[in-house]
Amino acid sequence: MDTKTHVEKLGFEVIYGDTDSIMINSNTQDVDKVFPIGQKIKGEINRLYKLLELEVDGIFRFLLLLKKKKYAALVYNKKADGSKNLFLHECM
Amino acid sequence: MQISVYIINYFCLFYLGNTLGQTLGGGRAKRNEFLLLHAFYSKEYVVPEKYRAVQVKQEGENEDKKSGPSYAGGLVLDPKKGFYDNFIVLMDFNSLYPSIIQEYNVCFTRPQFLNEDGSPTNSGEKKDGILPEEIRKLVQSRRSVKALMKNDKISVEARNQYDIRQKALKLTANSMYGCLGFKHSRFYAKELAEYITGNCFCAHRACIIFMVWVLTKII
Repeated sequence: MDTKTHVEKLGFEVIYGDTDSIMINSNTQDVDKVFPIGQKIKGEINRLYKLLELEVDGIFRFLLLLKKKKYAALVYNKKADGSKNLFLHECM
Repeated sequence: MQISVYIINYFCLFYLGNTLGQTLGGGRAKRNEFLLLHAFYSKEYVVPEKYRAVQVKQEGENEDKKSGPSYAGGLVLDPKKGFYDNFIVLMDFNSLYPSIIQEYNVCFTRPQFLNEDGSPTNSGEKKDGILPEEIRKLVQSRRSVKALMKNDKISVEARNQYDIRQKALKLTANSMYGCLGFKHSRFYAKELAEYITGNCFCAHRACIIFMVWVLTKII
């Protein structure tokens, strides 16, 4: 079985990836659960390599994925003082 | 803005050792070419002839008249179209190509091949090749410049200068891969470029496999 269908079976999906980035559906609407998922993936992947480094680049609250290199997302941003805001990120 | 350009050029001269005119007039490929020329010369290697434009043109006529690289580039996964109201985690590899060059010791001086499934073969060579060594130097210089920036006591002007410097170093490290995949470059090496993008596939695959593993643990 290929890995993609495997992932879907478990209810966790890689929805898009371009060259050095990857988008993962966290399957949750609870913000507190999202950050640990990202951190855990980061930690485990980086253990596989000496130098290659995977990082959490951002969290999207909503995402509209149209096709390759065409998407719009509302980025969830948590500031240092604890306040939150959303801003639009487009790739068109 | 103008001053920034001059400062960038100053550091290009300092790190890459080409002439001011070349830096101002030429593109990025030229800068990388000179950095590698100096590196190879100091190790007493004979550098390749510059690939002539005519030669490229002739070869181009034999091949398809497609533009762009003739090998597989970075992996773009098929997007799962739609609107998502769950949280999406966006992850990316930090300076992917420079890291791969160092991680797998990709160099002109090291024979490297991909297995049939696209995974890298291990050349077994421990010593760094010239290309990874040059990239490591750039990365280290950038790290030390960034450390200087962390100092609170430096002035805004100094901080800006450091920032430009670290950007120039980052740009050079990141564009080193480009001079392997670019036909008109002296150091055009299709096989190496392919090897690097091939490894990018592997990194992605590792990610996906890992996620399956995480889930089996969580559930």
